[in-house]
Amino acid sequence: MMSTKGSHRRSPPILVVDDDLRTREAIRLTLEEEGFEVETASDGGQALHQARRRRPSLVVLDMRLPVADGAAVAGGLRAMLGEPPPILLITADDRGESKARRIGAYAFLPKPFDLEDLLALIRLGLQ
Amino acid sequence: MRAGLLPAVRLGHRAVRLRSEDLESMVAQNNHDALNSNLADLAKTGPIVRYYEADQTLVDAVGEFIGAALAADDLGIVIATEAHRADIEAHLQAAGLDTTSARTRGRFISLNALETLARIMVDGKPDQSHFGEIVGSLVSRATASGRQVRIFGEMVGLLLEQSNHAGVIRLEELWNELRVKHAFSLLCGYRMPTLSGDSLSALTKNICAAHDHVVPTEAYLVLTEPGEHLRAVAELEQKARSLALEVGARQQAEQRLEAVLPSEQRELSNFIETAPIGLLWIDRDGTIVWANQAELDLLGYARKDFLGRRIAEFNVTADAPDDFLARLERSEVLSGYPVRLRCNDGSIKRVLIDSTVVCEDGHPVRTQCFTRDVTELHRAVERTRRLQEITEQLSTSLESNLVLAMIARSAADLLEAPVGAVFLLEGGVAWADFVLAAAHGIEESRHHQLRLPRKASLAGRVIDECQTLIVDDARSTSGTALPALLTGETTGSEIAAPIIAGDMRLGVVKAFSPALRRFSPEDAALLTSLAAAAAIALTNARMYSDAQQGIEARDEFLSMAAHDLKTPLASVKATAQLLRRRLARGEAPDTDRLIGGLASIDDTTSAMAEQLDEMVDNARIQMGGQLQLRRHPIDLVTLARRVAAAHQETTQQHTIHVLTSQPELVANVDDVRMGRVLDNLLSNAIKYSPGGGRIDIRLSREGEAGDDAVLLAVKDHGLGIPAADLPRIFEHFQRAANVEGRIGGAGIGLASVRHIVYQHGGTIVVHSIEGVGSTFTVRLPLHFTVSNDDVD
Repeated sequence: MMSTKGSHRRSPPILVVDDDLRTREAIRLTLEEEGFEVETASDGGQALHQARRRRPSLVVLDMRLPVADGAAVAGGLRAMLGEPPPILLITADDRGESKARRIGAYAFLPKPFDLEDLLALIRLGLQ
Repeated sequence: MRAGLLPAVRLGHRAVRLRSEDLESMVAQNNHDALNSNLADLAKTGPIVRYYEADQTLVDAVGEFIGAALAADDLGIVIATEAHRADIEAHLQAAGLDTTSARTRGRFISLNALETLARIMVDGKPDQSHFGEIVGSLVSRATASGRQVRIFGEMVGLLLEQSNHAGVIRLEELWNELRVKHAFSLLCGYRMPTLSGDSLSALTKNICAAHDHVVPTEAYLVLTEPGEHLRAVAELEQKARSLALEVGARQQAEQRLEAVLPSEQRELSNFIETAPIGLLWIDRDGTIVWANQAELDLLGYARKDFLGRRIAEFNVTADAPDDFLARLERSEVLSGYPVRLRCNDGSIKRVLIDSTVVCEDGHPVRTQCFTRDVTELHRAVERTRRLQEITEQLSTSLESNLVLAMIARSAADLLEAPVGAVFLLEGGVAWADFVLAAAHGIEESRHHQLRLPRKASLAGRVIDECQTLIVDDARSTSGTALPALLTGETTGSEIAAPIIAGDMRLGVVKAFSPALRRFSPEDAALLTSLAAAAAIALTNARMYSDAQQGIEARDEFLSMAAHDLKTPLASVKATAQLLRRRLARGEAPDTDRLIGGLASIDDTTSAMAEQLDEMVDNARIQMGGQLQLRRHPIDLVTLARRVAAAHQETTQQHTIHVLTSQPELVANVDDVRMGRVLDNLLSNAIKYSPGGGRIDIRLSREGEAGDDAVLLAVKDHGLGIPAADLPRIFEHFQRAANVEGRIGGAGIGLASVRHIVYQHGGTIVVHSIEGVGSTFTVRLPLHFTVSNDDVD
């Protein structure tokens, strides 16, 4: 779907990693409506696989993932890409803030979250 | 006043006796001269015996007697002791007689009575021929002179003093025989004090009989009034009688005493000798001078090896070895003084000593000790004290492992056995087998092998009977398992006490000795006390641990719960916001999308509600409570298929099959809870085979009608579970070591699975081989009635 806010199509996609289908889809649809290109992954392995294929401009990352959890993904990105893309951590874990810091995320958003907040943080991260 | 002699006269062989009235009148008139002058005459008629008390009396009498002869130029012969000879001679000289010239002229002969007596004695008796030679010839010569002869002889007196009564009589006889041949006057003297005692009364009679005249001692010669003599006689008679009575009485008393005293003495002696308490006499320098049998037995010595040694040799007390001895030396009285003594066999006994001190003339001469053996008492006190120490120690730790190790060690220590151990009922279930929880005296490597069967073991019996039991010899007692396990042979002695907290049977504490020994009732009491302390300590430790775990669990649970609910909430919120944004943008609402979105919200909130139910169940199970099952007849085949289908949707790498030969299997179950059980088993199967593969759910029926059951097995071909983790797999919060990362938090754990199965009266077991796969098998009896079973 085309965004009226201008085209971000040529910038790398935002990678959304979350094992919950509905959450993942809600985020994807919202971002696409805002004109972002989005890729999704439902587990840590998939996430790294896709990141290798197409370096994302930003990663929206859930902590609790099968195969490899959020921390492993962050580490993998770093190892793979040198300087990793900005990582926005979304998690229902109440110790999310310290986890975000540990994995080197630039921001942390607790679940359940506001889509507006998510968008704001993503825009911030892309700058 | 001088006593007078009652004279008697003998002329030739005719006895002329003065009548006693004449004598009396002479005495009455105090006519001593008459007496004395008649004495010679009197003496002629027969020998006079003179009893005297004071030597002077005799000397005077003899002096008069002989003096009269010398004065008349007759002959006087004195056979007397040296002392008397000298005194008599002095008396004669004082009377103006010239004894020297008399001697020269042969008128005065003085002989030593002792020497003369010695010469006439043969074999302790006066000999007739010797008497004749020495005395007879002397008298013969004397009478041949034609003059009168007066003789004083003391030899009989000497014989009497020598207690030679037979000799006295014989010598008197010899004198009498001599008087038959020759005419002379004889005066004999006997000291009165020598005449005493029964045996001499006969002698006195004989002497008196042998003499024609008897003169009592001087005391009775002062009586002058005529009636006084009779009175005196009467008094004497009375005194004699009363004396006789008194003597008789005393003799009787003596006899009685002699009869009684020896036996009393014997009894007392026996009493002391056989007293059960050790008695000991120690003299001033610590030497043992006497001991009774109990003392000897106490220390195991023979009398000859004990007496004469010093008490210090047996004293062990190293801390104050001299204090005891110092007190003894000071002759201090001891009261309950504790001492350790070394026995003959090297063992050491503890005793308490009480002592008394015996003094003579105010100086202590000996200490008398009473020794009480308190070795056993001390030992019992020590063990009780040790038990107290252990009990206090147990309360210092809340860690189960430490407490268990302490209990095992204490059992061995208190009962002085090589092995002490604690066995607990597996899973805390009252009908389960025993697992070794802690041991002292068994190598670590063998610990995990030691399981005791619930029924065929001493531990089992102890739990059944709720009391401490002893097996003296495992060989002769059936139904013991530990000896064989430990030593490979059915031999050894065991004692076990149940560990029961309230009415919860936890296990047993045991002591074991491969070498046979008797465990005593005191041992049993000690072990029972230890077991009681163990019950409390273990319960405390367990409660603490449960509390800690509970707190951790709660934390984790809350964390997980929040997380698990927040995730679907996030999707609900995101979906709702997404729809709002779209509608707010004024776009024409895509009805399908809207319906889809709302449906998604609906489903998610439903799922959340169910999640909440599960969480409540889990929480209840974790806290040890029971679920309220809602049981209905449910076809398990249908249930299995439903759950299988749901899970199949979540994975493409696995294939889930429901295998059964039965068209349906209906059981009375709570379908929601049993659904969760299947859910968990399937989701585990999927998680534990990350490489995908086949997952089989097999349903079957087994058993006879009335005792039949449904078997439900979930089998995967995944990672399997390491053997070391298998025993604890159904416990709360266990995660196998071979699982990477944290796998899921939603749903119930295996602990809850087992709990739900138990509440249905069923069982669940797992078979697993690492690298091959796992099979979980649930068995549900079809005819299980709900009861208050003990399910943890």
